[in-house]
Amino acid sequence: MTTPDHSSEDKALAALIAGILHQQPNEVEPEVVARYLRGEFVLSPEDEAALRHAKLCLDGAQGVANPVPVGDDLCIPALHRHKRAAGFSKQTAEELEKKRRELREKLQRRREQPPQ
Amino acid sequence: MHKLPPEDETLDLEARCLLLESDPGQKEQGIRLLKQRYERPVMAFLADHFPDLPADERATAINDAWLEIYHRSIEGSLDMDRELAGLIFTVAKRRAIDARRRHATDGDRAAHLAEHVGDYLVGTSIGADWRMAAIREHTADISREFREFVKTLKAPQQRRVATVMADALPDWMTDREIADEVKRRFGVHLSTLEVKGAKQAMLSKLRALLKRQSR
Repeated sequence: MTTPDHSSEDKALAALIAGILHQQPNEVEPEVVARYLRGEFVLSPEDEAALRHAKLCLDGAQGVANPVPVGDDLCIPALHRHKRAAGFSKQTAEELEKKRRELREKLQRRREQPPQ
Repeated sequence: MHKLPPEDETLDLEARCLLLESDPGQKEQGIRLLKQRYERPVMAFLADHFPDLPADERATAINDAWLEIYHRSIEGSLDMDRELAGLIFTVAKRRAIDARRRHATDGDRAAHLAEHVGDYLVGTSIGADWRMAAIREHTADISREFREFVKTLKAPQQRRVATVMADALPDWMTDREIADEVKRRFGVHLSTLEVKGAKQAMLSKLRALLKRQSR
């Protein structure tokens, strides 16, 4: 009778643990998103605290420093607020404007719908 | 097809409208809307899927997701025909994966972890149990239950052991090396006895889950 090699067995378990704890970068499926949006979860006090302490600074997009707070949990670089986004080509700017109009109209229609 | 609840659909649409505006203040308002609604669900998702990652690293991953969406809106590369909810979850998950890989012994190998796991399973009874679980389509349940278990480990230090073990593969670390790595990365002192205890708890749990599922 052969005895199992405990070292190999433990290494196999450790490898599985690594595999389970590492995630694949595929898209999160809509049903998973929906489950969390339904609020079927309880955050730990540790998670709640981490969210409270995490300060979001919307800097770096244009390499602008000196972010200034604009809310309890959000700050944005002062210079950036006065800066327009990098220039788009005329065609792209038109497409963006078209999309903006479409979405605004869609939003307007939704708001006019009676609550379901 | 899972649709967002109507109130979330409206919020998502409103946020997209704001992000399409050229005024940074409007874009910022769009991010604020998304953050208020999605931050906690995304945190819960990351807690379930990355239970051993420190909470502040998960929170940073979420902030990185807001930044990425903000930047994409500035660059005009955000797909405005798709709801943002799924994108936010996916980007946050990928940023959490990045955080994990930054710490891995070999980032490139970590990216191909699945192939290495197989190497360790060959010729072991654990590998046979895992194969059986796979045939019975139980591996997702085992993984979920194990992550739940890691989440409930009382001392955060025990979770740090899981992180270091997971990140070290394919290298096999001794208890002393794990303790040193936990100290280096998290500033937490652990004795080798504590490392051994945490390791044993995790190995025993996974072994028990495998046995239960393969019966």
